[in-house]
Amino acid sequence: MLKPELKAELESLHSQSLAWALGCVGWQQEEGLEVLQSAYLKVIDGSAQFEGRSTLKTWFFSVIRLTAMERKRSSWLRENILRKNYDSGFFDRPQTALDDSTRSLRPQIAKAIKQLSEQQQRLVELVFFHELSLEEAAEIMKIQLGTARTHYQRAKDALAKTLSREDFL
Amino acid sequence: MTDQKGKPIDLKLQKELKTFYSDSLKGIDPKDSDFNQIWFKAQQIHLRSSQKRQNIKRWVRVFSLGSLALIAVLILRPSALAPVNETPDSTAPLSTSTALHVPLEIIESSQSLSYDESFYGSDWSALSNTVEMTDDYQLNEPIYLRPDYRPNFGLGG
Repeated sequence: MLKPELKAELESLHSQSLAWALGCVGWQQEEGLEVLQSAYLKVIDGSAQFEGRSTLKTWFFSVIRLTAMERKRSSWLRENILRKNYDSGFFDRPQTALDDSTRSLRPQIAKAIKQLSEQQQRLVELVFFHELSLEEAAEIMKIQLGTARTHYQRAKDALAKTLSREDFL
Repeated sequence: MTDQKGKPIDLKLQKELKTFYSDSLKGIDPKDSDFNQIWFKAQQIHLRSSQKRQNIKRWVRVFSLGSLALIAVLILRPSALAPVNETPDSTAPLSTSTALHVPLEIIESSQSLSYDESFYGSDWSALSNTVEMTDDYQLNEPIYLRPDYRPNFGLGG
């Protein structure tokens, strides 16, 4: 695929990509935008190439997820090496950010989502929000379909249980 | 799976989660999240880093060509880097284990081997181009040898 065409397709996917990037970093706006920019940079410099083995959305979401993971890893290392005044590392911060950004919205849902593991959160987001199939979600997360199914089912059960208890569903 | 009212939980959950995620996106400034702006920034970063890479490549090329040239010079002409012969110190005592060939220019410039013009005259033409000396030769007076001088070391002739 030629670059202008790829760019046009990425542009049409932009809002979904942004939502996914934000989700990958716990809805921290600046970090999400950085992740998306780095993912675009990978496309521009050719370090991420679309070979047509899956849909463009699946491929680009997977690029975003890997970029977010790389950034998390490097920030975690930076913070641990520099030993700043952090009691908790980067991995704890998305939860805080999720709380902050959703306090006025749906605290019950935020609380329920917070209880899920990071992988479960991403799976639920991909399936419920981005309306992807479990196969596509598994491909983005680079996990087996069976594992994805298990995570998805457990996440759904946990959400339903928490929200039912809160009399939300 | 259904709730108490018999509605499927998946659909309800999906609706609620979708609203939740959409609401979370509302706080983002559309200017910051504009595609063209983010894409442009990424392109700028790419340009800068490729320029840096090219500069590094250029320096590596210069360095490797320089090293190759140096290696080639050393292989082809190892004497090229040898220290340049300087005029020996004329005041230093002459001592050799073998016969020495002293160029005439050195004898001329030497203070210890000063030429006494009043005694020998000013005709240098009789001097040979080289002066042959041995260890046991005492340098207490100027050396004056005929051009047709052929040393005889007692090997006959």
